[in-house]
Amino acid sequence: MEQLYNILPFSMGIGTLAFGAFLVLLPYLISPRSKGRFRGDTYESGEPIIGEAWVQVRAHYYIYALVFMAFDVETAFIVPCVVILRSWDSWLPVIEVGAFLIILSLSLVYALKKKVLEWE
Amino acid sequence: MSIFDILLRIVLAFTAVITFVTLNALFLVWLERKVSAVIQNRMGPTEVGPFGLLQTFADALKLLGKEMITPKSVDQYVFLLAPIIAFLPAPLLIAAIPIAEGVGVSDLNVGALYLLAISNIALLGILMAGWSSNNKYSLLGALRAVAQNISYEIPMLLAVLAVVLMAGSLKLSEIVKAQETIPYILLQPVAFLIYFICSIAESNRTPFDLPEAESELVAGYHTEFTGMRFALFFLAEYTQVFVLAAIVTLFFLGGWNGPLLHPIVWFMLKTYLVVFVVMWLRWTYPRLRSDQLMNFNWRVLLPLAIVNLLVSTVLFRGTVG
Repeated sequence: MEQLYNILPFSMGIGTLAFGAFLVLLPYLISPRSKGRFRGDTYESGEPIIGEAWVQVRAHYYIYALVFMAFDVETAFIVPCVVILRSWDSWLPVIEVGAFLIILSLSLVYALKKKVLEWE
Repeated sequence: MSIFDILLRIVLAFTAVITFVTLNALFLVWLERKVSAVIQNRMGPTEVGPFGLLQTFADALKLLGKEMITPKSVDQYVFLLAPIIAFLPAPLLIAAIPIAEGVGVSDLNVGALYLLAISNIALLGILMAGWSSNNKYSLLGALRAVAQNISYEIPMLLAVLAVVLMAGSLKLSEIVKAQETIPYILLQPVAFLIYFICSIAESNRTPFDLPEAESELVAGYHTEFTGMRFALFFLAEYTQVFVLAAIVTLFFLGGWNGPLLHPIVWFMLKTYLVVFVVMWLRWTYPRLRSDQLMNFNWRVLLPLAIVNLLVSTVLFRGTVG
């Protein structure tokens, strides 16, 4: 029984995909069609389209991805530590995890010092 | 228990959840319009049904009959799949939220982690939508959404961890049970603020609505989506608002604990109160600038969240043992 409830949200994922597909396909049966020279054009505020949107993207966002990776992995490591904190009977693990947190926080200090998170 | 029983249960649960997702979104769109009307000294919808309550039903029907336009230059498969992927987490999240003791589809033992993890699937949908549209507005909106969402993810997790630390469990019902005497908003006010700010940023709402900033990006990542595809993005967005309010209620406002009234009533009251506050913020604050948004996260929220977690660990450790 317990296991059933644990798989329930995942099994619902399949149903959701089917429901979403149904909602997207249903209007094809009942909605009108229109024709026109510019019907299939990309919307650009009514102006003639200039080039494609698939161009090289500024690498600035890549830095956020990098810093995010560092901190997300860190947080993932802390989750189990935090859950079982009650059962620890000494201060040692707390200090260890604290040190881990502080060392990784230094990467943020480094990033800020290097001004990688700054916009110009 | 036979396989048939299990299937029946899943189908029942699925129907209930989808019904809730749809009704909740319809109600919230109506509420949003009414709240904005009150704030801007207007009437809002009044014509269809009492207080205009049926207006959003009429709108939904209208969207069903709208033409589905697929621009020539889009990436077909990704474009078709994007709204469905964006909608995918909505029912999955609702299914994992317990409404009262033992009421709800499921109460996972990793509930807190599950909610935070699954809600990010929507981000994949947004990125797919923005990229496949081959539209500059969409692409810019999607890139902003991704940068903002992954940035605010970290302080949000750390804020939740401060609560998990106090409750000693990731199970949502146990987090609520731990708040029977005193809600965590009083014990963890900093975590509450961090979580609240981050979750508004995660749901892409004003003052953090850069991904769909209508004055510069038309509609952001869903510019090219018409009819029901657009409606799926809307369903996902309003379900996310409900989920963020429900998480605030479960983690900080004591969940379904409360005197006199039925637990379900308490849960719904608190949740929709938070939803109202979120809407109130949306219609009273202007939009942030992109660099301000990022700086605020990396310079203020993240260090604050780390310090908050460290301090509460030490304090909690000191009082328990």
